[in-house]
Amino acid sequence: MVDRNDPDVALMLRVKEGDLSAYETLVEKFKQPVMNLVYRLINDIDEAEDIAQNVFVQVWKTRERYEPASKFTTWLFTIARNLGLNEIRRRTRHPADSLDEPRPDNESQPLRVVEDRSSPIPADAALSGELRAKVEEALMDLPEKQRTALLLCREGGVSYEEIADVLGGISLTAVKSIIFRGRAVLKNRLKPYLKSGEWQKK
Amino acid sequence: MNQSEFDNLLQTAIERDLTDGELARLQRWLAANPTDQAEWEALDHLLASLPDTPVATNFTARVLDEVRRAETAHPALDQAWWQRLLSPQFRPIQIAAAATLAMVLGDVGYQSHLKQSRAEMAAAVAAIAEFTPGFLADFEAIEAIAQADPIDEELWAALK
Repeated sequence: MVDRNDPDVALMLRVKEGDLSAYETLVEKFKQPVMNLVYRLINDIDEAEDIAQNVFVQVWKTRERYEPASKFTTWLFTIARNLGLNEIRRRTRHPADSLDEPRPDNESQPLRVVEDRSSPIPADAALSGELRAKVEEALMDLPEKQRTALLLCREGGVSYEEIADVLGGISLTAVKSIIFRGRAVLKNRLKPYLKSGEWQKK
Repeated sequence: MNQSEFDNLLQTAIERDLTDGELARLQRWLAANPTDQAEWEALDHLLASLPDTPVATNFTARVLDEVRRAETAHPALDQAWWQRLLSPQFRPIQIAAAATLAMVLGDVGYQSHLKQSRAEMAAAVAAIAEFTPGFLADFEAIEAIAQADPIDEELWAALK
């Protein structure tokens, strides 16, 4: 059982009682890690935003079922992963589906209204554009479990136990192995950059 | 473990899950070899350096709008579960429940009726059984008359 005084658990317990301001605080706090995870799961920025929003809507809709048996983020990332996997499955079943296809019921309306991004990728980002693209590409080529595990590691503060829960209750050894495999594959693909130290250049 | 074994183990990790023992050997090797450890750390740094995915400025507002819309459409969320079951969204379940209840009540009534009929029938059979000996005696006498020889018509006429 998780400490009920954990700030996230305390917030979620307020959300469970229907506190909308606590809910808004949770959304603000976790929208970035959820977007990071969902986007790198499905590799589509607009769809990722819709799914990330749906993650939080699901949190609200199922709030009464929340029990602080584990950390709030475990619950949140599990919802995010499940919705991301649903999207991957949907695309597998309907590969021809495209955002460019007009909706039959309201063709004159834009498909979705997306505001300017609040955190555009800065030109002087820590990684050069090419290296970043290589890393993203290598990450996208990983099997889903390895990718999710590495992404959760990247978020920081997510323990192996939590990752095991998010990945469907697998063992700790399996988590370690999955993470190690993912790293080994990435290391293999990114070896030239790791050796040259290019990742250190600004 | 030497460098060659370490490289082989890395290759194995690409191909399959490692065992507890293999993972422990790798971790021991990394702890003892700063060069390899630095490469792993570089990899972690690369992943950590990936920029955050851009989030729309109105993300939270849109989520809250969606939640408020859902609340307006289904205000019953704050009600008890049994109250929610009475809302129109559960109409098919309500109809199915009513039909099931009607069937159960009908069956109970029918079974009760059958039970009563059986009791009445048993009472009637018992009452008939009390008359059976006398009734059978009369029956045998009548049957004997029916099976007697035909009347001698000439004798009958003479007797008249």
